[in-house]
Amino acid sequence: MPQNSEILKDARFLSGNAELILNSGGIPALGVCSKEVLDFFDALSRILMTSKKARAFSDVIAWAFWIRRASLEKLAKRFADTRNLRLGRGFAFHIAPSNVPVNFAVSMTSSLLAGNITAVRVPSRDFAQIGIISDAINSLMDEGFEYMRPYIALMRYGHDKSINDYLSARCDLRVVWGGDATVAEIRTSPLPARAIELEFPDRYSLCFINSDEYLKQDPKRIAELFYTDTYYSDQNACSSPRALVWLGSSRDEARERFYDALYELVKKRYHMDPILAVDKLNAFCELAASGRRPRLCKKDNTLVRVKVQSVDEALMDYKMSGGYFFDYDAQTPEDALPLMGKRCQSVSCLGIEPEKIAIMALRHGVRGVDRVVRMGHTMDLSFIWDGFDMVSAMSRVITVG
Amino acid sequence: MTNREKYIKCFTDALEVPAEGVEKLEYQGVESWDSVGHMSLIAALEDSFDIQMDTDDIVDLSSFAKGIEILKKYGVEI
Repeated sequence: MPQNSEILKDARFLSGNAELILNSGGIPALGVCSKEVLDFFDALSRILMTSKKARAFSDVIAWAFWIRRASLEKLAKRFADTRNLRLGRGFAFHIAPSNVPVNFAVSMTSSLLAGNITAVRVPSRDFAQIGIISDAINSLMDEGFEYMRPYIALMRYGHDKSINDYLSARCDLRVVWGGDATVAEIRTSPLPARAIELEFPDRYSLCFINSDEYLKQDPKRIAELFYTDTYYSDQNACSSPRALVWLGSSRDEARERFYDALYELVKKRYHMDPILAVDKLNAFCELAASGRRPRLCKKDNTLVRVKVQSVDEALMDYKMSGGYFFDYDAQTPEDALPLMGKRCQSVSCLGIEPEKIAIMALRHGVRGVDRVVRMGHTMDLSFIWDGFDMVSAMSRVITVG
Repeated sequence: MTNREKYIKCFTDALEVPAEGVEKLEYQGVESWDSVGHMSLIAALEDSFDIQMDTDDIVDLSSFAKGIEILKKYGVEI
């Protein structure tokens, strides 16, 4: 096998270096929510929250807010039971998704809190957010938090199988975010016998709206909430709703008011990549060719609505981003069950209690639906993601007695 | 510093506004109190008063006056 330094020579390190990875076997794993990591995140949060550069990026600030001391101490309380001692699994190798700039940091957060030595492959695209976060990490490791040096490596490299093979062969935990093709490609790199793997492949999300309740609300405020769930991430996030399930007795009236208010906001704020106009038209044509008889209804290319008469899981093979929504009229929430298969991640609700949808999912034993939230909260960061309790899943337990 | 002085300082620092007129501030009433400013403000309040706020309270804190009411729940009298 080639030497470490040779294999990793094509990787560019934003934080840490190849030497650290070579020596990771001799570095102790930390306890879950260790004081060392909590202090480090607290300092990192303060740097970013007060940085002018960082404040230009609401996703960086949202992450900085999430890792602030008060938030992490709430998490730490969950692990306060000393009869079950938890610590990191060892060396964790993460592949971050290429299209969500701050997701690498989200993955790193749970991994460090779990106590792992954490190496992350960050997106190859040079998002400013990645530089801002890695610079802040480096400044702390230079001063005051030198002890964190052996625990963090952020690196960038192309589709290099030899690096994936090398890091996979020595890791105790592999975390993969990305499309199904990325997951399949990484899976060709074998893991050691005891290593575990968490995968976060492509998912889609839904939105349930009770039309009668909607009509009692301020349309502008609701448009803001929905915009945050969708257009804010260009509808690229797994948690962005792709289909709207309309319930209640005033569906047509509610739908028109809803889209009118949304369109006003989109006109003001949203800049669409021109290629998306073609992608959306193409997605619609493919759907029509599948024999589902969809109806196209749009204000302009920035807000494309596709009315469907029925739903089936394969409908989501025709999903698109950048403001492309399926509308479905349902008599009861159960009518949308075919959309709650394996690939369904979040359900956002307006005018329906999220608990009601969660109980319905449980009662029917569906394979999807990992999260039900109120409208406007699909982008919220959480330590439970895709059905995994992240810090638990990335650590191990020593039971005593 | 009194609690009220500390409370005002959280607003002036996090939202970069003058102390004058701070009592009338509302969420999205000034440009700097947007979602980013809101997170800075909550972090400053938690820090200054050594508290951990619940998510519902973080969302509900929509004005200077409302904040005073919410902080009472955490044993902080402004």
